[in-house]
Amino acid sequence: MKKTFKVFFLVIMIMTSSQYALGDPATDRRYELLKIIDMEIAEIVRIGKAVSSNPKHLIHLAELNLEKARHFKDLENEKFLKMPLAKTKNINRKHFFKKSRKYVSKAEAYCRTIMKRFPKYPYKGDVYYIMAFNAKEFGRYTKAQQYFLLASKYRSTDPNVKLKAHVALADIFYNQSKFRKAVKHYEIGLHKKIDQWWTKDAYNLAWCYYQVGKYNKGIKQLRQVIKRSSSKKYVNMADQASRDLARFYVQAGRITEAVRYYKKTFSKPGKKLTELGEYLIGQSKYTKAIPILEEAKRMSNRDANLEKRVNFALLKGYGKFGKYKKQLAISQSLMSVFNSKQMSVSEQKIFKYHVTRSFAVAQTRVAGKMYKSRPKQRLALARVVAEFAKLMKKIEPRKEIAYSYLTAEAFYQSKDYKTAATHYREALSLSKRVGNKRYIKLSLDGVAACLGHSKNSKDKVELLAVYSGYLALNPRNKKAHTIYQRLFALQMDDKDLSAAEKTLDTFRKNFKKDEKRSEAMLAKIMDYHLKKEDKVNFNRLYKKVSSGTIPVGPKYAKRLKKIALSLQFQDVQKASSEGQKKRALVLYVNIYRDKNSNAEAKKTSAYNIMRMFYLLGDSKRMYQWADRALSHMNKRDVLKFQVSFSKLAFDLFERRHFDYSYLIYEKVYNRLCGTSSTLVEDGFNNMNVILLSKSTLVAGDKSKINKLLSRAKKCGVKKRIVNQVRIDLLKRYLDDHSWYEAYGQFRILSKTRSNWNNLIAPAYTLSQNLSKKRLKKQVSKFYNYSIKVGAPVDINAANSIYQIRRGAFDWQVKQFNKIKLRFPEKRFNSTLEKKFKLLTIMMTKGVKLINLGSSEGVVDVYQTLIRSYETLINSIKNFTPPKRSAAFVKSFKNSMKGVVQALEIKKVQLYKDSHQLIIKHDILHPENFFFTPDVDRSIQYNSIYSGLIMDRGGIR
Amino acid sequence: MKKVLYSIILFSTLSNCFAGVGRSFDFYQAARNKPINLLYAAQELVDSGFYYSSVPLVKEYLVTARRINSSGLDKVLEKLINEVGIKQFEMLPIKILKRSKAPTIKYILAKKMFRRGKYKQALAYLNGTIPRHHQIKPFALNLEGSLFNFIKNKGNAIAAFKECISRSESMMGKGGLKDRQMEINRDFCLVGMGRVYFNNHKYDEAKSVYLDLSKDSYIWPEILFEEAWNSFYLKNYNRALGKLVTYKAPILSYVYNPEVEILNALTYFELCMWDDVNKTIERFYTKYGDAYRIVQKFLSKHRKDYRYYYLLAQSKKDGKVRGEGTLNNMLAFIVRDPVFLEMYDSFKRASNEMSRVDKINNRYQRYLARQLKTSLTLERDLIGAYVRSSLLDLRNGVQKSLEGMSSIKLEMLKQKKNALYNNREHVTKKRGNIRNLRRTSKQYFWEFNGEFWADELGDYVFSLKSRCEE
Repeated sequence: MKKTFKVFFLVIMIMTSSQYALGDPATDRRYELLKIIDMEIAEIVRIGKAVSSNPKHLIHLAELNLEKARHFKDLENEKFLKMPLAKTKNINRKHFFKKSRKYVSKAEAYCRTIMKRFPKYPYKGDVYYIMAFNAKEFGRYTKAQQYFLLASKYRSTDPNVKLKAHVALADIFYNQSKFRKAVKHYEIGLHKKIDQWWTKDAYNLAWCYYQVGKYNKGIKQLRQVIKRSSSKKYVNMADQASRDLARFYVQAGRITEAVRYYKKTFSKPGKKLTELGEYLIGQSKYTKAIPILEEAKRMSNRDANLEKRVNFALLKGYGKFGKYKKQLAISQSLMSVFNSKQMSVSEQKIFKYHVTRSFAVAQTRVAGKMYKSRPKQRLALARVVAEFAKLMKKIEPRKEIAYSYLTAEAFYQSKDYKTAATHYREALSLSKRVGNKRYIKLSLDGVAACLGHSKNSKDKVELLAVYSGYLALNPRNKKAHTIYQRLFALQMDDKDLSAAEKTLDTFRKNFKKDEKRSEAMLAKIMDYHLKKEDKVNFNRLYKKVSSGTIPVGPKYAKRLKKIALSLQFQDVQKASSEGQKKRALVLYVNIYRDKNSNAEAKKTSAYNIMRMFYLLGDSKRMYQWADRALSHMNKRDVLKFQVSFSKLAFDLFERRHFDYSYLIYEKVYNRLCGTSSTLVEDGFNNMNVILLSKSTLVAGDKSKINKLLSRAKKCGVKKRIVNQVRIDLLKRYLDDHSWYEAYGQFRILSKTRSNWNNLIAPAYTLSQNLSKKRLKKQVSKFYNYSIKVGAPVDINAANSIYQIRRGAFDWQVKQFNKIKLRFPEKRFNSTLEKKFKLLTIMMTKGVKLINLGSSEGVVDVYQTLIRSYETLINSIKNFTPPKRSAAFVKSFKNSMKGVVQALEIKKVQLYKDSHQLIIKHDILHPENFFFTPDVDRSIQYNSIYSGLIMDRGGIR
Repeated sequence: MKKVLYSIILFSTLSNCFAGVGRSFDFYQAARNKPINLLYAAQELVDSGFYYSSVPLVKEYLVTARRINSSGLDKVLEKLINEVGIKQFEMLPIKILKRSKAPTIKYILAKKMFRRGKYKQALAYLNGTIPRHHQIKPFALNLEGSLFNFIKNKGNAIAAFKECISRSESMMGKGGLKDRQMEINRDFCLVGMGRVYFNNHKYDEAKSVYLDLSKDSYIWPEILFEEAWNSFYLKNYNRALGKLVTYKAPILSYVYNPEVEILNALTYFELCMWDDVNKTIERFYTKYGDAYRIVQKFLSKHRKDYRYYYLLAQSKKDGKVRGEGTLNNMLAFIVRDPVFLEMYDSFKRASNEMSRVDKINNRYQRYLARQLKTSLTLERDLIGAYVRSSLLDLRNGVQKSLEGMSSIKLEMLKQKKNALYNNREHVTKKRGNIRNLRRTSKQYFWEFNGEFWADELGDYVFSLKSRCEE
């Protein structure tokens, strides 16, 4: 810092000695001032050197530099302005103004130094104020705004600095049109700061108030400005303030005061008020302008020109607020001026524009929604329109027809049909006179419309003639569309059906697309026939409808269909309700056979006949009529009546008419295939049952079954049901010894694991009859899987697996039987031991076979074991050691008695166990007698069909 | 014979002294269990004339005793302060001092509070605590007057100062140190009254009071400046200049007060005598331009080395001139300050006591030497601290004056500038004459002829007419 001071001091010294050249007195004074500023700077530099640096010194230095910069800027400006224009264009301004710029930078540098070195300096406001002024003077307004704002926030040594900052800020905001902000700062600044510029700033504040809508405050402010301007202490702003005060009054709604003010201030207040009114009109402030102009009009009685001027302004003002009556009055007043040719061309244009506009706007209002609920006002407005039309006819006589017509239209909209008709007729006669086709047509239309609203019978006849005449001229235009309907309505009112039908025909021809309207018209005719119970005419027209000659919408067509049907079945229903079934049946058959009967009637009658035969219990006719009814039905119908058909087919099945039943199922199944109906699966199942229950399956049946199976998935039959049918078919093939066909089904079924428990027995049967090695393996595989997953295994399957697994047991038995008891003693003992050993093994294996759950297995194993025991007992009992003494033999026999006794006990135990097991599991086996040794076995039943009591198909 | 008599008296005195020292020592030895013995020990030493040696014992007693025997303490202090002054006890913390009800301690407490700017608290310590005839009373009244002046209670301030004057005068006539102290105190009270009036803008009354101060007073040189200010405020610029020119007299050349020049410049400024203002400013800068930097550098270098400051002041007092001129001038001013002189004399007396102690050749010598050394070191540091704080004050004064002078110059330039902005002349008219002088009955008019007589000092009057525009 000290270095800065030293350098600066040197600069000052040099500058003070040489830089200021002398010239004219003003410049001399300026140089003198610069010298003093330099001295001031030198003084501050000196004190800065003498004591420690101080922000106050720096601020002072900044201020002085700024002051110096201003002087240099003035000098530079003077020099610049004295230069020729051509030279100034090419001048490097940056270089030219470098001196002033230099001091500005210096001042800023000092300020920045303060902010940097003394951040806690309490009077930052001073610093920011300098920086702000710097920025402002050199056109950096954004920066200036920021600094002024800071200056207004921070404390400063001089309280005026804050106020000045506020006013400066307010000026910036005022120039940026940010009036609200400007108001805030002006208020703070002007509250205490009172200097010569107060009036100027207060004047600005007044305008800010004006801009933010605080007019009363603005007025107060302006009054103060006017008052203070009379003092020499302040800048005189009285003229501007007085000029603007009236505007403020007007804006504040204090019109009386504004007028009073004008009256008091000006000699010709009327003119001033007109000017003010025009100004406000120009500002689009019509509400404020109108009362002033009205006041001006009152004051302009003797001045025709002023009155004209006021009238024009008022015409514009009223126009904006829809004050039609006032507008009309002004227009009528101006019309006299127009007629006396006291209007300039431009005025004439403006007048014409306003009258045309007012007429058009009023006309639109009459037709608009605004007055819909206010008929009286609307009519009044129509009258205003008529008055405007009169003026327009004078201004533009060649458009007389149009204005007459438009007047009529306005009255028509206001529902004053009588007056409207008069004006339409006027327009018609005028247009006929000049041969204007367009207006003839329009006027005629208007007359017709007006007559349409009349209840007078004479008018009605005239109306029919006008309608017919109009339609002859304009068969297809928009208006004709309405007129056709009105004509049709009139004809229907007169019950002239043939004429109405003709009108309908013509309407249809000309408005083919509007089916809705023609349908409504037709409905009226049809309703009339129905009401009169005129079936002939009804059917005649219905035929036209059903053939498409008269096109109608689907809804109405359906309705008509229903009506026609109900008309046809009217008698049958009556007979049914009276219990005359036979007559009803005959009538149904007649409807069915009637050539005129439509498909719907035929379908309904066939179905109803089927139902009647069902009730009568005639299976054959029941089937026949069901077949006919189905032939007339589509999928939706079948679905609708599926329960009835299901019942019918089942009934036929129960009555053992399998073929009829099958055929009904087949037809229904084919129709419903792919739907979610329950009859699909039932039909599928029942058809297969019917086919498989046949005693002999012919090729046709097999192909039917295969066809059914192949379509099953497509028709939505569940796989589970299909598989069940396939299992049934497999069993049927096995029964019929059709091994290869059975094997085919087996292969399909074996692909699904869930079928395996049902395939154990068929696999075994097939393995016995076909030379397929893998079949036996599959038996075990299927069995093991079924046991593992806990799937139910039937008795046949258990038997089959027993047959497969019994080999090992049989081999042991064979070995047991092979061994013969022999002597000497040692050998006898070893053979006996072997036998016992084998017997134990047999017992173990036998138990395993019994556990398979096979009935055959249980019986076979127990039988074999008991027989083995018996054989052993007998062989021991009967054995006599050869070549031994009697004593030895006796001793030997005695010793064997114990063994035999133990074997006997075991044998008896086996009998008991087997007996219990057979009883427990209800095992039915031809060898069951073996286990009841006490029962006489000589009586046995032997069936010729190896035990089967009845066949599947039953007896026919 | 006389010699023998003197030597007998001396011997008996000395033997009495040594007996007192012995008892003091015994009390001191017994003070471990009974701190009151410290007070007795101090009493014995004071009675024996070993004032400085007793100071540490009194302090120790104040610190260690559970209950203070205020009347006993005050008895000791009354004698002690007469010789030693109160600076030694001012160093004790307030917490310790508060424990005693002794009037002297109350005065010390009030003074401490005064320094801290707690005027009302200071007044509370003085209120009804010091008896009318107590030897500290005049000083307490001076302090009380100043305190009332600070809290802007003019009536009480004047009353306190008036009583102070009468109490000080009533206690004079005993000779020795005490008389000088009372005289200075009286003068300060007199000036205090003037200050009260000045403070209340009663410049005429103030002027009369200032005129009552004798030119023989120790404090007159510095008060002369106050008189000048008073004249300035009375707009009697010629008299103000006359008062200020007195400082140019060789007898007052030691006075180091840059503000004198400020007032000079200000007076010329008020008279719109721009050239004189400029001359004064230039003169001021020549004399004081570098003073701030020099003192600042010196103080930064030696920081709080009180011993150094003491030695420096001592060497200056002994007439030695060393180093920089500004610093020498300042030191010359400080060493003539009555307060400094009071402290310095006190220290010298302490040194004498040391030589007395050194002469003692028995077992009590060490005991006394230890006590005395503590007192002496503190006294020396107190002098050093006073020198330093005086230098700081002078430095601040210089700074203030520099800024003030700068402001005057800038103000003058501003006025010149404003005149140019307003397109008018700045300086007008000629210098004035004798008719511009205003006098009271207490003042005499002397033509200023550039020479100084002691009895003319302070009575010079200028005769200049304002050059300002009407």
